[in-house]
Amino acid sequence: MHAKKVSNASALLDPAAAGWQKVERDVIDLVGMPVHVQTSRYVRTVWADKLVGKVRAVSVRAAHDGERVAFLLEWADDTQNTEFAERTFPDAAAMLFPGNGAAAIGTLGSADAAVNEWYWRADLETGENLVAHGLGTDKPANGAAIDAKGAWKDGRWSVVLSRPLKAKGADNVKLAPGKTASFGVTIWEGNNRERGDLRSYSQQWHELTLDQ
Amino acid sequence: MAKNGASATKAAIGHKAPGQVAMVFDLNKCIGCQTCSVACKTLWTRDEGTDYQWWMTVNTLPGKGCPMDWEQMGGGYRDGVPQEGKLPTRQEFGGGWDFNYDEVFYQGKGNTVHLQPVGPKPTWGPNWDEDQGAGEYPNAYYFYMPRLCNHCTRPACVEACPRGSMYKRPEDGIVLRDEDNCRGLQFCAEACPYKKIYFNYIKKVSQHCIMCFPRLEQGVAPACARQCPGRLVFVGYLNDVERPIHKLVYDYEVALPLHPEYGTEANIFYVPPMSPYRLKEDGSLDMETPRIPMEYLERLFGPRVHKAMNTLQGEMKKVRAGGKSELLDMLIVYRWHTLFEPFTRDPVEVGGPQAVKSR
Repeated sequence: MHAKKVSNASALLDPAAAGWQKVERDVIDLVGMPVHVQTSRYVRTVWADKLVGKVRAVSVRAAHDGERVAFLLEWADDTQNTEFAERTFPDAAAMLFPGNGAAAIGTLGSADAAVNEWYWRADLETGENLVAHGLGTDKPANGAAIDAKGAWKDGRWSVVLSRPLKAKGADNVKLAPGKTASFGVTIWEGNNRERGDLRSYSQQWHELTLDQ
Repeated sequence: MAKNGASATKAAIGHKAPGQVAMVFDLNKCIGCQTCSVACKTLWTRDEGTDYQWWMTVNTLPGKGCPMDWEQMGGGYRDGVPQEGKLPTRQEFGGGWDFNYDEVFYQGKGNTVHLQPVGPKPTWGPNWDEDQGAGEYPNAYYFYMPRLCNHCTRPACVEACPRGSMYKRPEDGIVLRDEDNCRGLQFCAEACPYKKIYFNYIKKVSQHCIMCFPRLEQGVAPACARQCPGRLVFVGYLNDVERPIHKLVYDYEVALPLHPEYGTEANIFYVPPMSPYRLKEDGSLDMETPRIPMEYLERLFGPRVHKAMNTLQGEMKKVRAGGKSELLDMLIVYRWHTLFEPFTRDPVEVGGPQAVKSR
């Protein structure tokens, strides 16, 4: 897919911004993270017969203005979970970017192949910039801040994740006009008690080209 | 930090740490005064987000306990297999009540308004069913059960964390959490069969009793034990063969873990409560039957409770007949230092509670 060149990407930080309607969308299929790869034996045992990854498709739009890139993720979710509540968890989503060609999306990278994660969670004021070296290893990434804003309306989440194109630090994905990068998406349905690696995700990396 | 924790975890899980710190509560001496609960509360859980957390609770048994009906919430292991556990809610823990302090103390209404919780009327609390117990007059019965994190040898919480954020310190077996790496997933709280893990809704991390490790490291007993007016809480190393913990747990076998069937090998032990004989209808004593049914105690402490009770009764008989009993002397605690050795230092000597906490 393409990140459309726009005049002002900062105007797109609101998921309801009219400008997003002029950006084409791609629909990406998601699958549940398999239970057998979960790092906790408790989770593997208890979730063996439970549905993991309730959200099975996400619409993705991308735009940039040469300085900043923004993604709009939209998906259907009947239940708006905005906090840690009685036995449910806040809804969440993330854009995933492989640090190098070897990083597998299904394992969130490995010891020598990082995955950069732009993370939004419904209870947080802003986004989080994370780096993972395998399932259950994500930690804060240095050198860049992720803007994130989510809105839920009529059974649908719309979430914008955004970052300046230039970002210092080896943990951060390199994005530049005219260049192609890989990305994936992962979604947590908090009402289904999805958190950690109980989530849905795009099984493959997808290509993203930033328009000149 | 997390990496070190994770590798330490692997080293220690399922094996008694050589220096496992343990506690023994003699339930025959607990008067339910909650001094332990408040000692812990004032030291560790005063901040917003921890207001509803009581790492130490004392409940009347039989009763629903705290969180309400925690014994029906699952978790732990059966035949070594992790069991699904329920995540307790803040309400089941009793919530954190706010009181009308301003109204009563500062608005001149001290004689007209009662001190009471504000907001929705509470329907449960950390000590809600106090002194209700069970049985019918004149054979009603109850006793008090102080509970904290069991710092288990096979901690279900540690194994449940997908991030390796929890670990068991190899040097003393205390179960801790790297809060910087905790993401509030709460699998630990699900898996803990004793339901002693809380969610800090401000910091968005799970939290639990840390056995006052900053105090232990300076030779000071945990606050709950040190403050206990009943002097019923022993603290020490499980493998210290010369001291009461080892003797009570291994030599005399009168100190038992709560719900051993949970499979986590708890390191908090209890001397089970003895009780008067039942009264028959004609007012005479039924010398065969204690008021607290043995079936109930067996449900709490497992089948070994029978032997423990026999030992305790046998030793009492011996003393009544003029004999000596090392066991009873130990439980009487003639010198309070014997409760805590080697953690007998006065907290004041190390700069007071706040100095200990800020380390």
